[in-house]
Amino acid sequence: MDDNRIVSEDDVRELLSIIANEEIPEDIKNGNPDYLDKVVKRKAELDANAENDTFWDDFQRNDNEEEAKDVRVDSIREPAADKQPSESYNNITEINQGRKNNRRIWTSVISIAATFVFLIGGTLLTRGSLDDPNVHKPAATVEPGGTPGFDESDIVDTSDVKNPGQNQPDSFASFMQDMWKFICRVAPYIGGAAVIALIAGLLIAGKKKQQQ
Amino acid sequence: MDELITKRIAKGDKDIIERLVRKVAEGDRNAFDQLITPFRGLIRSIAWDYFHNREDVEDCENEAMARVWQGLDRNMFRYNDSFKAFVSKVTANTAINMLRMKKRQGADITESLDGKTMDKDGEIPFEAEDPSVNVEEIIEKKTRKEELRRALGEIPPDQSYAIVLTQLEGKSYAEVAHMEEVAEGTIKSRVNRGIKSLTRLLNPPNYSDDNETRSGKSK
Repeated sequence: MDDNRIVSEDDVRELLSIIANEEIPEDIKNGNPDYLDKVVKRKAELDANAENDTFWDDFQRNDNEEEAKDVRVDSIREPAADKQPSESYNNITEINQGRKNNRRIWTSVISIAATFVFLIGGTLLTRGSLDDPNVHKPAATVEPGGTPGFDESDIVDTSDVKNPGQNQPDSFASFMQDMWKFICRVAPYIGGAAVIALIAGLLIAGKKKQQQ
Repeated sequence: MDELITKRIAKGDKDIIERLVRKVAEGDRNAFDQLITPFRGLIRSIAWDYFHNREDVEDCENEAMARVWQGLDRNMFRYNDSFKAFVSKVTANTAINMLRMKKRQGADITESLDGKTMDKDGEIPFEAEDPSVNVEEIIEKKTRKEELRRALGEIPPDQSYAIVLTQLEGKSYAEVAHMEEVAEGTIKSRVNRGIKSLTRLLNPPNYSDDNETRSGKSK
């Protein structure tokens, strides 16, 4: 047999299906009817060597490690009323509780961070667009002295601006700008409300779980 | 009457199982006999998946039953759990332990060429040469199967157990997930990880998962 052959996952699956299709011979299937004495004897031996025996430690460790990795919180059954919870059960419950708390903390931190981003970002963007003189002030379209009560200081000097007409927003751009300003102003409130709703939801869910 | 009780135990009747478990914990041999009889077929079937030879299957069965009893003494079984799941898991762990012990001792796991025809002593009987049978192919297949069984004892027990129950015992992922009290996806992931581990073990030491994508499909 070639030692350097490559066995693929498909080969392994095929081998498994071959093994699965091999039936147990009838005589093995039926088993030994006089098994009980052997089992009693073997159990006595096992009990006598219990000190060096790691079988049940391994058995429980498998349970704990695996369940800690994979199990869902609600999939752990509680021990019977007349039984003490096993160490394994306690460990898993503790681990899951810890994870649940971690999840809550991270959700809160992310929500708060998101709110700050919305608030700061929204404020900066809105301020930035309001401060742009070329966008928000008409460039020298009014004749000085032509309008009663018109303050000459309102006239913007456009002599240093190249192609002054091009800075005038067209109707679509103007609409988009208004929309953006509106979104920036409203977003922090929506974000804040969402965060408050999220935190409230988590608290209520936590309370309900505790009550259960 | 006994047959009825056996059927109810096999179906997982919690009341009867709990009553018998309590009796077993008090040292009642007959109660143990009654409790374990419906699951002996399951124990042998799992042992067969791992060993494929009479001697080891019988040893594994006896050892697993002794372990089940010991587990009941030590309150390892929770009444809310499935007794069948407990028995299968104890059996798989026993088989894995035995495989590991055999590996340490350098012993070999032997099976007959077709996996079925063994005499009562577990020996491979002599068969007349049949020209239609490709002996090399049979030997290669047998060797690979033996390697695979050995590898089943080397991968993590949870993966080995998931593979044996779903791929060899023909149980559905949902059924095993229910027995193990985990999500169905967890069992699927254990099986996938297990098959990857087996693939790694069956390949030369310099094998990497990249080889799988390059040459695995080309077979």
